[in-house]
Parts: sequence; C-alpha cells; structure tokens
Amino acid sequence: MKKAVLFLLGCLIQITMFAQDQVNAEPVPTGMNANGKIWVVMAVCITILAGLLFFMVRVDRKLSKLEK
Amino acid sequence: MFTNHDAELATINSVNTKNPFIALFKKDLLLEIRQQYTLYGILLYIASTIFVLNLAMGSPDDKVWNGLFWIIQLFICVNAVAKSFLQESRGRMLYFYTIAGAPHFILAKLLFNAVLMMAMSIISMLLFALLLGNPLVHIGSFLLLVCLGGISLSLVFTFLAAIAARAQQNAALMAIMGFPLIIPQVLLLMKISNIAFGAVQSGLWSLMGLLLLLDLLVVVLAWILFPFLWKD
Amino acid sequence: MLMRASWWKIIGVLLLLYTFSWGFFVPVPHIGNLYETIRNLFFHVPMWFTQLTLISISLYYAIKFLRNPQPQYDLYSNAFAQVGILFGMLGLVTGAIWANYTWGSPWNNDPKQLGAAIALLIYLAYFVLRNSMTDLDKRSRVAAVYNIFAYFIYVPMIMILPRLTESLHPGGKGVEGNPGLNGADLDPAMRLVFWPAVIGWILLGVWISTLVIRYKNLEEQKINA
Repeated sequence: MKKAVLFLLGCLIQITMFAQDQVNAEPVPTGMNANGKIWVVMAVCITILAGLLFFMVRVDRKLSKLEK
Repeated sequence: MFTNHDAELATINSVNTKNPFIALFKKDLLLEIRQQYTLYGILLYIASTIFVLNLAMGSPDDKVWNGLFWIIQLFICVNAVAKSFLQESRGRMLYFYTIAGAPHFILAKLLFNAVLMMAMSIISMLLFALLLGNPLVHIGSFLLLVCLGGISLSLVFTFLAAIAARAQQNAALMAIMGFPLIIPQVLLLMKISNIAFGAVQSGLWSLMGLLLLLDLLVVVLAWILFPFLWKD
Repeated sequence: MLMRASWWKIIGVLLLLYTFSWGFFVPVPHIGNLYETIRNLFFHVPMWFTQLTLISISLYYAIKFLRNPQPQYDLYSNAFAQVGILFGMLGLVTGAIWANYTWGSPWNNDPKQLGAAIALLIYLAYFVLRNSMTDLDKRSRVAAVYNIFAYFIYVPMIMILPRLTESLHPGGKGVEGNPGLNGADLDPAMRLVFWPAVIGWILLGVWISTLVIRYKNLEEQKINA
C-alpha cells in the first residue's frame, strides 16, 4: 500500500512540474482554462489521487483497529 | 381468517392434482377478493394521490401530465406489490413453496401482480383523465401502453418484494433497490407515451420491442434466481 | 496464490507510470474546445472500465456463491463491489470536472453520466441490503441474488439509455458530441497510451480489491477466533 501511495505522489509531482513548464507558453485564457486547459487534467488527476488516498486511509485505519 | 383458510384448503387440494401454477394464481386471486381491505386500500391510495395532485396542479400540460402519470404508477406499484410476500405467513409460504416448487410459485406471483397492477394502472388512467384533464389524442394506444407499463413495473417490483421480504425492512428497501433498476422501463414508457399526445414517434415498435425484451429478461431472471432466495 | 503474486502489480504500476508520463507528452490532435483536456482520456475514461471490470468480477463471485455457498465467495463479491463503487464515484466526479470546462456545466443529463449515477445507486442499495440482515448465510444469499439481478438489468440499461437521451459523449446521437474523439477512430498515437492506461487502472483496481479482501479475511478470522 505504501508503495502505491508513494508512486501516486511521485506522479502528482511530475504532473505539477510539467504543468509549471508551460505556464508562460500561451497567454490569453486565464484560470483553469489557461494553457490549453491542462489544469483540468491536473484537477482530474488530483481528484483520482484524493479518492484513492481517502479509501486507502480508511482501510489503513480499519486494519490498525484490527491489529489492536 | 376463516375465509383465508378456505382459499388455502382449495389450493392445497388442487396443487397436487392440477397445474400448480394455475392453482397458486387462483389462490392469490381468491385471497385478494376475500381480503378486500387491502384492495380497497390501494384503490383509496390511488384516488387520494390523484385528488391531491388535482388540488395542487389543476390541469397540467402534456409533458407534466405524462411525467406525473408514470411517477404515480411507480408509487402505486411499490404499494400494491410490496405486500405480496408479506400477507402470507412464513410457514404457509414455505408450504406452498415445497409442494408446488419455486418456479411455479414465483411465476404465479408475477402473473398475479401483473394482472393486479394492470387493473390499477387502468383505474388511475381514468382518474387522471377525470381529475387532471385529458390531453390524450390516441386514447386506444395509450391504454395499451398503460397495460404494458403496469406489467413491466409490477414484474420488477414483484421480484424486489421477494428480496425485501427476506430482509424484513420492506417498503423503504424496495424503493431504494427498485428506483434505480426501474429507470430504463420508466424512460421507455415516457418516451413511447408521447405518441398518445399526438407527437410523431419514429422507431415506436423498436421501443415497444425493447420494453417487452426487458420484461422477458426480468421474468427469466426471477425464475432462475428465486429458488436461491428461498432455500433454507 | 495469484492474489499475493506481485508480477501483475508490477505490470500495473509500470503501465500507470507510462500513462502518467507519456500521457502528458504524447502529441494530441486538436478537437473542438478540448485542447489539452483530451488527455483526460487516459485518466477519466479508464475509471469507467475499471468499475465495470470490478462489478463484473463481483458478479462472477456472486454466481459462484449461489452454485457453491462458500463464505469466501461472498466476501470477494462484496469487496469487488466496494472498490467498484469507489471507481464509479471517481469516474463521476472526474467526468463532472471535465464536463464543467468543456460542455459548460458539471451535469448534463448525458446518458453515460446517468448510467454511472445509476450504477452508484444500485450498488449503494446493495450495501444497504447487506447491512439490513444479520443472519450471515441469509445475507450472503440474498445479496448475491440482488447482485445478479441488478447486474443483468444494469447492462442492458447502459445500452438502452443512449437511445433515449441525447449524448455529448463521442459516438452519441447528440449534435454537439465530439465526432473526432471516437473509440473506433481514436488517434493512433493516443490509442498507444489509452489501452495500456485502461489495463493499468484495472490492475490497480484489482490490487486495491485484494487488499480489501485480505483485510476482511483477517476480520473474519478475528471474529471466529
């Protein structure tokens, strides 16, 4: 499980780094629509990550309770 | 209770000799006719719901009329069908179940509830036309659709009533399980019934065919799965 | 045991690494107002594939349970349905985010959105049904019956729904759909990321399910001990 979490975190960092590279590339649209809406993809990725992490934390907690 | 006992006796005598499917169907029918208060209960439910609708909306336009009609059918169906596995005691049910076999038992229930719901649907259609105005252009085809719709709804909810009866908490559980599953039928029915309001409908027969196929699917599933539900 | 084997988990991780890296670099075609969001194809769409796979596995174990009532099968069926719901929710939420920036609003009554929402309702009802019974044997059997019944109504439903409501999704009958973004004529370069992504996400879903199964097994043992 730790492996999976670490791996997902690594992916997130990679995404944000890539997105930052592009910040100054294209002007005009602002906010989430900037940079060819790449931020939307980031939001989707973060949502998936958050959902999976939430689930993992729940399983983790139940397991710790069981171990007691 | 004495009358119930009569019906029961008549069934027991015939279950072994004649076709058990027909015997069980007859038993349900006899029970319904003799135990009139439940039948009147549903009728009163229909009448008062539609009366309240009349007070609330007057004469709604076609689209609202259509939507309301099928939603009310849904609620009538939940109420009419929910009791079908409750009014009989566990022991009695097990008894019929063992002498007639599970497939006959569920098929008789399905058929009986289909007939019951068809009658209720027709009654509520008449009341709708009376109290909420009658926007129907093709009354004949709508009537046919109402019968079909009543059958479709009753089939799904009969099987869910069988499941819910095993899980005790009845009406609420039936609604929770049933409403997501009934969506394709309700959408199909609303779509098809537009034709009765004069709207031109292309591909009507393929939609009707879909509805019938869904009904067939539900019957087959109920027939296969019911024995597992009541195995003890 | 396959459940504890690690080779398929490694494959899943590698595929997802590939998805998350090459998925952002692969040159994508310009279609409508999608721009870069077309890359969501590698993240949002596989959620749905994973959900369907997991609930299919759940169905498989429900059938297996009815044929041979081993408590283990019911436990599997339950766990896969649980993780299936998780992926269904993720698919729904990510879809809403994507829709908000390309279709203009998070909810469009699109048949695929409806289908995903209905699946959630069905499987949430499955858990309500399970929790309403205390007798273990009866609970497993009734839950398995509902699982099978619901699945076989759900699958035709997602085939019928698109015929009844207009779709913005590719391949739908709506006018504003994205004709260029179609399963059949997907850009070849994108297809090379899309299918590995689907497999990777499915493997991750199965992996999480096996963790849930192992945890539930432990719980069972504790109760019985």
